[in-house]
Amino acid sequence: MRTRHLLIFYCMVNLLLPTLQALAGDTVELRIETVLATDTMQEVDDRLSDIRPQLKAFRYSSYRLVQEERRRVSWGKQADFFLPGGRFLQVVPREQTNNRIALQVMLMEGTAPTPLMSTSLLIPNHGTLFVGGPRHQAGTLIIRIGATADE
Amino acid sequence: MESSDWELVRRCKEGDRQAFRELVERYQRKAVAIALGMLHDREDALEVAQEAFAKVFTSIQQFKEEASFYTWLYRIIVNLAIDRQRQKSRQPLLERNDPEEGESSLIDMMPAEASADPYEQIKDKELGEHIRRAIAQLTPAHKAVILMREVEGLSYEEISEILQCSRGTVMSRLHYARKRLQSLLGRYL
Amino acid sequence: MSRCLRSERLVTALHDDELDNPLRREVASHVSGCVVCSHRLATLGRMQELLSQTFDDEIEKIEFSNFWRGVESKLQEQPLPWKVRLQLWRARWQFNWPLSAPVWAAAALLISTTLLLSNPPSFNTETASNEIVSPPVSRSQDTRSVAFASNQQAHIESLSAVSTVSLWNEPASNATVIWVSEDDGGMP
Repeated sequence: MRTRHLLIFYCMVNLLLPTLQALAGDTVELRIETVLATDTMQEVDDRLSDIRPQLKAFRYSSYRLVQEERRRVSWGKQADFFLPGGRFLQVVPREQTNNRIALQVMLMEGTAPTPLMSTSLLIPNHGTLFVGGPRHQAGTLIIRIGATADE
Repeated sequence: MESSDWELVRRCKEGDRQAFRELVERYQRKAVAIALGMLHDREDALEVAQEAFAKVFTSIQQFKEEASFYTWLYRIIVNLAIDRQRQKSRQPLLERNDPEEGESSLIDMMPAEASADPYEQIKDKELGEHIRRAIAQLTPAHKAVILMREVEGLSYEEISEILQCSRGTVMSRLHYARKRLQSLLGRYL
Repeated sequence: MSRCLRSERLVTALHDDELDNPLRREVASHVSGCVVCSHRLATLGRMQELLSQTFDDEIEKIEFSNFWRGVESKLQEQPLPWKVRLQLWRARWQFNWPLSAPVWAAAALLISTTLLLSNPPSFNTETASNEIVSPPVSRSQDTRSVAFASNQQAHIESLSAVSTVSLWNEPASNATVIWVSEDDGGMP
């Protein structure tokens, strides 16, 4: 019974702490958009109009937004984002320095112990990183990772 | 490449409105056909079909992907149509009358002359109206089985899943519905 | 005649394609030689044609161009049930345990207040270098750190993968791209 209550306390902390820390300005907002790029059609999803110039870098003819998620995460905390095709992205915002955000990003597939890709990088606050390449259905996934820290 | 129902449902669960629209456009005609058979009124049928799709979207998280999407959709439509009909009339859900007993047969109101060739008769608007009126004579439960079997071509298994009853009940209701329609449309069959 | 009465349900099942192969052949063979059953089968077929044609004709008369708009307005009339909203919220936060609101509220207030008073951990800072973006990393089963890379958009401290990885920057669009090839090549 005591263990159960302790577990509930711990869960509440994890539930409410991000919100409270956000109010205290100690979190970063992560934005993960998953785009399916194909050559089968000639259209760009209306919801991707703001990044259309950036998508030109990939030279596919069709882009469709399949998933979008925003989450506020505390520094040092891991956030998991499930992606199509049994994959998921782990993102850990480590710190902010000189208006840049240090991120650790891992792209995992299914239950494979080794990540498909793992990187540590610094991106500008409000900046964007693209991770692309995993195949899905008849196309290729392009994952846009954005990070915004309270200034 | 056309997405499967399962893929569209999965996308709907993620809040993809475009996927939901694709599902609607894929099944709108079948949905309205079932509703029309149950309600005999075009406006009511369109409204019930639209309500059914709206209900699908709000309940999509509960849909288990191993089930069949269209049997789930049809179940919602049949239930909504039965509710709508109950609101409009006091017709019981299931009659236990024998086809020979009770109300007068529609066949008494039919014209004495009728074309011998059934394929020519189909072009006769009056025949179409007679068929619709004959179906209207059935209870909602019997309408549902005859529409799903004869118009949608569903199997007994699929119909039993939609109506949440046993396969034996489906066969029994189908048998009764056909007997009733035969007595009402005899000279055209 | 008694034989045909017994076959009535079977003739119906034959019409409905609900018979398995051996029985289907047997019933079909009987029907072909029985006037009563073949008439019954023909009647079932005509009824199906009349019914399906009637509804096909009805549906053809209906205009579906505004159907979707009707669905959207129905959706607006129906707010998401609180259960659905709760499910969506739970899926987002991946919670699976039962709620006990008063206990949670009291615990959260006590523990969160305590934690808010503590200082967050600090990390060592690193200064960015000004190296050039590197060529693609070769395929390897071992994780291999490749330290390099900086540009105006991103500074890559380390990058490893189990397959070919490419890294590039698009200055015109301010995009930094890490491309993981699932087979050789495959860069867009």
